[in-house]
Amino acid sequence: MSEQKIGNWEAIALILTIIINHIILELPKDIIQTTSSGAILNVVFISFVALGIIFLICNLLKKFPGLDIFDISKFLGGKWLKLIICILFLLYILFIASTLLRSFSEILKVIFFPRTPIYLIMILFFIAIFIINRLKFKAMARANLFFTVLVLLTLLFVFLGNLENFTWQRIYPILGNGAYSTFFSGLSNLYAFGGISYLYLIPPYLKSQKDYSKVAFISILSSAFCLLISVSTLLFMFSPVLIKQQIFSLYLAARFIEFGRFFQRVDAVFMLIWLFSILYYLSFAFYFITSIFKKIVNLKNSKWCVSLFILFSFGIALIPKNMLEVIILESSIYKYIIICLIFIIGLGILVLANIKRLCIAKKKGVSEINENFY
Amino acid sequence: MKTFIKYIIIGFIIIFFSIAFTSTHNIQSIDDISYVVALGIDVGEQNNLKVTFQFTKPTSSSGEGTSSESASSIVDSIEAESVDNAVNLINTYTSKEINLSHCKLIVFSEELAKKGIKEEIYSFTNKVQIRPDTNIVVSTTSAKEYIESVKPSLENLVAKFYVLLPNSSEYTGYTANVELGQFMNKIVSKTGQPIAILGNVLKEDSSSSSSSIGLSSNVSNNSKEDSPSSKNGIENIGVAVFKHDKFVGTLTANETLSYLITTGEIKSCNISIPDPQNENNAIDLFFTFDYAPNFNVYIINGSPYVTLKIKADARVSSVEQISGRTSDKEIREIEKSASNYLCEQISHYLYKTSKDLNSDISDIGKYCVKEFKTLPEFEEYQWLERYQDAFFKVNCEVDVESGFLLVGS
Repeated sequence: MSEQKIGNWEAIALILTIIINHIILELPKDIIQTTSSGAILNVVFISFVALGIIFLICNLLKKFPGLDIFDISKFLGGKWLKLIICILFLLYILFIASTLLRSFSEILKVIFFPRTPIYLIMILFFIAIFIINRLKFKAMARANLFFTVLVLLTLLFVFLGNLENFTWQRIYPILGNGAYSTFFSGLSNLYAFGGISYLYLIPPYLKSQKDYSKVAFISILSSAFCLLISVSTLLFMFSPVLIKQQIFSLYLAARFIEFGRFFQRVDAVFMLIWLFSILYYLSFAFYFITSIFKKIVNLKNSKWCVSLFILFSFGIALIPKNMLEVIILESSIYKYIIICLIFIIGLGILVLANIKRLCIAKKKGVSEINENFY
Repeated sequence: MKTFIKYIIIGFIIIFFSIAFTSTHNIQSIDDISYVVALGIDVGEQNNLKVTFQFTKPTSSSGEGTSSESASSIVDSIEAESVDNAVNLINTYTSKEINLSHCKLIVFSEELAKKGIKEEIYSFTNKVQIRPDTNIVVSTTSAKEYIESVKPSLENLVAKFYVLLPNSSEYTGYTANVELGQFMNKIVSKTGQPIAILGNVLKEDSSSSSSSIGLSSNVSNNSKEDSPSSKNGIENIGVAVFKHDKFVGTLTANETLSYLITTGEIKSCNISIPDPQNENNAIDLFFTFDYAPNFNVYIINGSPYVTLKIKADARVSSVEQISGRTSDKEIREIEKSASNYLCEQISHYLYKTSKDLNSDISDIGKYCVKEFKTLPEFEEYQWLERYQDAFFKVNCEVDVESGFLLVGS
């Protein structure tokens, strides 16, 4: 396990890569679709709410150092609760990874390989994921750190490179479709911070448990920044009516970048970087799927486990008939799964586990329970 | 044995993917593709559309041709129900596959533009090969004639000619650089309307249309035989105004300049203003527009009241006017004349777009949005329809400095 411990920056990049890859695909578009010109205000609002939730998670996890959500649910409700939570998280990650892969493969097909069957593009991804998963977790995390920095730069570049195409007045009316849609129904856009789910899983992989809060806050703040610049790029560039009709809006924005006549058509470079980023996202997803599965069945040798889930994911990814069905899955089901699992079930388990811990401590007549107790 | 099986599997995977992707490489090889540099779309006689394709000849694209006149290109037309259908049909006639990724110009005939071009614009925006920086032109003649008339005299490559053509908008202000991405954005916008570059074919028996569209005689007086414009065969002066996706009118060169000033798209240009001391004379000023136009929109009794403040710096270009005109009073007079001239021109332009054309091409609606608390309220107001009720107040402030290298005596 010590070989699998990662540093703070690798952990931050891991959380960030989960959110960034959804930002690259449909996330900013979905936010603008629901809040129109109020999107920027909505992103700022949900970012503060997300930071509040992170503050809560960090405090609740403080008393369970080095434990992930599964260990905590075992402490709370025994083996059965652990099993249920494991299965829920496994299905969640598998579903999200499969739809994201299908979504990105469809885009690759449209842009670069119009005559190549979709399954062939996906198989290439699966081979790469399989090979990456043969590496150590630390190696994956380090490579991911490199690509996450590159992706961050591309997002910044898309924003800065398009400054001259911006219509700043599109921020008005600042409340968009109204205060209710921006602040109340818009709260459902919290799903943008789906990367929080991995914050429940990484404590055992962190080198320094003391830095958990630091990792959590920095990763969510960086994600909020990425989300803000991506939403701003789209909002200032395109009419909200047009954004609703687009697929892969950020790529379309990248197509507008020009620096003089010598620096044009940079979108191809961006696609290459985003492709690597998606690859690492999926590799992490399959790594965690395998480790959750190991926890469920108490498996020690998981060498070929990943190939099993790759096949399973391949099947799930082929279920949607077309891109439209993938978009519907991402914008509707995905949203509610995240809100239920991360913000209701996840937080609920942490709160109840802390109450149980306090009750046990009270029963024993001590102020704190020993860490070995868990 | 284990390693051997591993190599067998890897070998199998490599062969599998090589075969799978071979067909793609075969089709997309550069030798098997013919690149379209311009597309023209007219109303068809038997079918819905008549689509004209302009290709560069492979030998001319190298730029090493000995022809001193112009690069040769091939123009081919086909009638079809849609643009995609036309691409399909032309693909059956040509030996190479058509590729639109280097298409720099899309020309619509005025006749088609009047009917509406939304379908075609959506179709182009939906294509990965077509770039958002492709220029949109509305030709007063047929699109085919426009494309056939293009004979670049100062450029060897037709494609490069198309790239450089709209650049003059940056330093003349007589045309605008309208791109597909921008056009598409405006078609669906609730705050503004689209425009396109206005193209015209220079015929042998007629002079440049620049005079007829509002340019003073000094532009059209050029010797037609020697001017690069007449050798090019086409001219792009003025803009075509759209209401949603339908062509509704044109702007003259001077009105185009006003359009560019109100949108902040022009940085500098030469403008001739009336001489305050002699009505028959004109003073050439070189304007630099470093400040963004300041629009304010108020809703008064349900009608938009638009105030516009323009600030510009200017230098006197012509030596004759500089000499003996350096006193403070005379400079103030020129400033006043320049300010009045600009205000007059811009007011005329704004009222023309509002009352005659009913099309907010300066995107003034975006300044009006902040008057509303929510987007549904703004949509309910129906800015694009109310624009014809707008009234304007234009305020121009011109700071005239001395000349360039001479300050006069």
